Amino acid sequence: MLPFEVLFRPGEPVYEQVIYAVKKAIATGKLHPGSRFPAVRTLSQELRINPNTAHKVVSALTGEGVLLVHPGIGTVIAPPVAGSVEDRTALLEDELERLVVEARRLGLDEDKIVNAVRKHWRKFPKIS
Amino acid sequence: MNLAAHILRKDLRHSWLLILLVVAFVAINSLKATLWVPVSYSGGDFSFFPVAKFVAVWVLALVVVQADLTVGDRAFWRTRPISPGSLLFAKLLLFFVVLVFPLLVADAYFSALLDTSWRVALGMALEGTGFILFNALCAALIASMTASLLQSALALLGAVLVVAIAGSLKNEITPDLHLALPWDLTVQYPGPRIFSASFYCCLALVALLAHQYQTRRTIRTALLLATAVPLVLFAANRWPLNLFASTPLAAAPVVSLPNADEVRIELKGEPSVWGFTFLGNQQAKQFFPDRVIYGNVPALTVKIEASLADAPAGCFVDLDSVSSRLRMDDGTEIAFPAQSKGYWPFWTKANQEATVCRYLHLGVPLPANMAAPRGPIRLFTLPVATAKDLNGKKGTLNVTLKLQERTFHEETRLPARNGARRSYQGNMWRINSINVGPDGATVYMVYIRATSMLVPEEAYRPDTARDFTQRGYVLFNRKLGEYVLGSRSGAFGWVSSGTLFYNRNSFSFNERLREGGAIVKGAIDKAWLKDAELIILKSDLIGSVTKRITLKNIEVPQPAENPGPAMPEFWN
Amino acid sequence: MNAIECNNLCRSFGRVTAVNDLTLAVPVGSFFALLGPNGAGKTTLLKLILNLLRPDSGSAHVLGCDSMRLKSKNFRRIGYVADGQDLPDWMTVAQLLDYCRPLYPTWDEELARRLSKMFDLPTDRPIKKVSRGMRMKAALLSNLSFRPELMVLDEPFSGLDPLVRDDFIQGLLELPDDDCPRTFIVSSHDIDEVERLADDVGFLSEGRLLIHESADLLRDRIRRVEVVGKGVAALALEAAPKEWMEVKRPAENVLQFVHDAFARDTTESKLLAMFPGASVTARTMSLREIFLVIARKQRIEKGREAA
Repeated sequence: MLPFEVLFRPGEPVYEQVIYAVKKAIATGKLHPGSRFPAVRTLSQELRINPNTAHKVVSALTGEGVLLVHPGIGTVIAPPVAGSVEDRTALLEDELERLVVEARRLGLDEDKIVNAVRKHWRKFPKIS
Repeated sequence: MNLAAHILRKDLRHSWLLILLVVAFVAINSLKATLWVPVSYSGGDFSFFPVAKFVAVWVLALVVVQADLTVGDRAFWRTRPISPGSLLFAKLLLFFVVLVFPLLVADAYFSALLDTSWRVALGMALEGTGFILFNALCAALIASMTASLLQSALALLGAVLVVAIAGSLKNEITPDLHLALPWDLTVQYPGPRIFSASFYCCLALVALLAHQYQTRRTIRTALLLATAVPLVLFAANRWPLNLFASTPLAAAPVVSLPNADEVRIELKGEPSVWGFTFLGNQQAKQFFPDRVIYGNVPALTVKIEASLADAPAGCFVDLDSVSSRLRMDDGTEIAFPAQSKGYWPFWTKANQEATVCRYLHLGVPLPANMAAPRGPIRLFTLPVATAKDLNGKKGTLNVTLKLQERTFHEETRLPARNGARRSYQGNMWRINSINVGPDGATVYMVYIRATSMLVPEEAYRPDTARDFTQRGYVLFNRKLGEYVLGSRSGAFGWVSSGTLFYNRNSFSFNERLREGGAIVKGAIDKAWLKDAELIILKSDLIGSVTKRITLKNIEVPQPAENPGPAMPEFWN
Repeated sequence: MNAIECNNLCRSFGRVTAVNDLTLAVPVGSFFALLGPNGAGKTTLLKLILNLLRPDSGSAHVLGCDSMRLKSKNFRRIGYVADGQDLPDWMTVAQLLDYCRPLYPTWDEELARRLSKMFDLPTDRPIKKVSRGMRMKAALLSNLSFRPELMVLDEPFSGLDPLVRDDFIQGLLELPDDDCPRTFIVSSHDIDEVERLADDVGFLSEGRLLIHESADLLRDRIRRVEVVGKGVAALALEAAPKEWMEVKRPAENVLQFVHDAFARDTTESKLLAMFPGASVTARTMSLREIFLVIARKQRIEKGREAA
């Protein structure tokens, strides 16, 4: 059993979908920092994905710092990113710019976007 | 090796029922020889069980080999670590375990039962198992080149067709080359040749199977098969494997007795019609060379009365064959080839009694001259139409009589009771039952002999010809000093079941005789039999004589309006 | 290192060319999905690789060994499951496993037992009396239990219900472990099952390999594009670039097509340059949708050739 679920949509790369699902699970609190992350083999079997893909997922997440590999213990969820608010916001620069560009292209104004962001924000539990 | 055993176990488990059937048929066939089973008079046992045995062997081989197909791409073993070599070895191992081994056991049993020598026992084993193995391997090869039982059946039909065509072609091209089959009793022992053929055949079949299993190129295997057949036949003829041949397969030398001229035959009277019969179209061909004959041609048999003078003491003279040549005054010539058994045994009852008494040490001296027997000799048989054509014409008949001089010796004796059995040197006599009635006793017997074509000695040949006239059967009660001569009752036949030859017959014993031929009143009863033995005498050929007689100025006898009497039964 | 290598393989049956000059390489440790319509030559290709059929020309190598020289011991490392293969169906599942076990030195009895329970296989009924799905699972079980390095599956899912398909995939995923890379090659005309599993995809049509690339790359470059804007009406459909497939104009200013060579960074901007002021949306397609587009394109081209 996995502590998070993945809703597979055909067409998108499998490993991207799994990575997103993991990040979402961390954001919603389903995965706590420090808790154990399933092994590649378990990921593969539970999600019915190619073990190479599962391996790629873990590698990518480890590379991004979402997961940490402790020798002897295994793979665990990394603690929240350290650093100032400005530093952490800077990590989202690309995504924010892309969001704004898309919104403008679709003809949505600032208020609409802010409301939408708020709506999604409220879906998740409070950050503890 | 382990892999082969593993596959063998799987095949045994899968086909256990079929295997049981095969072993059962083999066992029944073997036991049949010792059971009281009806035997067809014409020889060649085509009753249910031998046929069933061969069908079962073929089906078993087909099923077992096609459990792991070597044709096509669907077989389970093709993508598994099962090597074709081990697979083939496993199938051959199964044949050995299921076919060869039980047959060896059966042959060992019979060898012991019939008191055969080790050479005959080995010969029996090789022939019996060799032939069955040959069948199994043929079936296996066909199975390995086809993908289903139906395809195998069709391929077999095709092969039979090819063999039939080849056979008739061979008859046209080389009519003198006779290929005898193991059960062909009428042909002089081709022994080692048959064994060599089956030995080389089995080798070739195993090689072809190995090729098919390893390469699975069916067309190539078929081509190799086509080239293998003449190769094998050539090898078998060129290098026969004479396992036991110590003496060549020559017939016993013909001995002419110095006193041949003393055996005088006098022909009396004129040739006359003895009876009516039919000639088959092959035999009638010589009389009607320009016509095509269908069916049988009515014919008549011509006899002449004859008597024998001065047969030597201690033996009797028997007529072996008669041939003659008729030369008519107008130039017509007809040659009548030798016919056997002139139906004139020079063996009267008195002679018989005297000989028996002598051998039973009843103290009766033999007469100085055996009484001169007389009777008819069958001269020739010709179509009724031909006889009518020659009506009124005169001619000369040259007759050549081949006579044999024979004497008797005791073959064996056994107590006169149900189930009595005696085995010696590959022969076995058994009394199945003795029925006692108001007219006398009837003894039902079975005689079994071990034959092996690999041991070409006189003693081990199937003993078929003229058995009823070359043996004498006597019931002897020593306590009372009485003996009874047997006469044949009923028509039974002989059969060869592979290497075992057996016949059953029955004899009736009526008149009680004492030494000197005095008849004793009263019928044989159970009490009489209690002290009696059945003695079996066998006649030996001690010499032969050829007599030529010329009859001048004779006419061909004409048939009466009504057909004459039927051919008489010959005297035992 | 390649688990499977084919070089210019050719095989015909009479006048029909089943495999036409096919070259292919499947690297060790990958999962290769061989897709294509019925009669494309997938089964023939797999049989050629495993020496169930002999090629007319060309060669194939399996785990380093020439396919025509495959010996029985090579099959200790290869598993093969195909609907068209005979099983000794007089045996029960237990007897089948007993028969196979001594053939493989790498047999994992614990795995066999676990898979048997997972597949819910009846152990005492002969295989011929068991449903088709159970039969395929039994075949798979007898192959997975010895942990083959190469697993070849020919249309394993056809005719199986979704639960059995899931069992199947679960069974397949039991195989990979850390000490030895396992290679899978699965042929199917039913793509949904392999969508999540395939590393590489090959598309076979009439004996030729039309596509052979990684699944991710394939999904990346073939996308469904919609352009909405005024400039769309001016484009003559026949003059569309050759990378565009199934070009349609459902409305005057709406253009829809499938792009054959989509690049994330450049294609959108190129399209915006072609149609200034328009809005461009590109969405990814599942392997099944990609398959359909390619198959339809093949059919059209075949029709053009015949004409």
